[in-house]
Amino acid sequence: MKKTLSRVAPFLMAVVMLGSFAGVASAQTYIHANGGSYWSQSGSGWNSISNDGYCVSGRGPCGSSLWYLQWNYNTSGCGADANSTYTMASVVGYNGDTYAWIDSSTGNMYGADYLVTYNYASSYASTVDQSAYYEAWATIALDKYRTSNVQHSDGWGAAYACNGVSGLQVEFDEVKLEI
Amino acid sequence: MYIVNPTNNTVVQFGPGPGSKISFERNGSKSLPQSELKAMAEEYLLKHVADFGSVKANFSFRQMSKPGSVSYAFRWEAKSKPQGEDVTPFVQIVLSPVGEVMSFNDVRSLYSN
Repeated sequence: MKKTLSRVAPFLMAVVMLGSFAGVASAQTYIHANGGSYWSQSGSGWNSISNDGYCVSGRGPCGSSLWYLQWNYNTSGCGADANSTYTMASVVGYNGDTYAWIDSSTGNMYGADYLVTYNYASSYASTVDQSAYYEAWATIALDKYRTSNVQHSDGWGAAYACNGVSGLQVEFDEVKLEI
Repeated sequence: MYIVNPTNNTVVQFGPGPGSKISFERNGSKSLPQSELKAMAEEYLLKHVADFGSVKANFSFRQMSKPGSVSYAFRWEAKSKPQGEDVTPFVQIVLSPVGEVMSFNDVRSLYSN
């Protein structure tokens, strides 16, 4: 994890070069902020918490306008009321891993819904247990070739499709792509 | 899912992987007393983190819970952050309200070399 180069890229997105961890000569890490230029959202019921999440004062490569996270109560049953899309800042012909930052103040949704688009038009439906992670990266998908975007909704992920449970908080915060 | 640092074969993280469906007890009303959960967390870490005694003595401790007390986190963080890093090195275990191990992190080895 030791960095050999770190810089803040335009459009409120960070590019960080990593060292030789995992035996890889070098890797690139892209952190996509909720609220940033590589993020879009739709739907209703959005809530936010200031100075919380990966990008906060003293942490993260993001400017102060992005020092917050968002959350939404989950949609019970099928479908979703709120959606977000993280468009990957770099889409290249290598395999990549995607992760979601899960904080401590919200994110008790154990069947969070993510959809990773890779290899031009293939998709991988992922379910992440946000309740099990605190101030850490949780894996969304591994070894996906040419990852181009990650969608995240307040509905139930594929592993719990159309679950009737309601009242859970779905966290939307930073998404990391490691290539 | 386990994430292992291959340079020293230590577990950096384990927890529910993508697509998993693990039936942890998440009913906060069934929660054990927090003191009991903390004792369980420390007992686990003493068994599985070789230098946990040193971690406990030198790192800052924080205890957290999610809305609805669906889980509890017991986290020991270094008191300083290596230059250029965003996340402070930490050791953490997350337990369900009845003490099931939901996830574990010991990211310290990622900060060396």
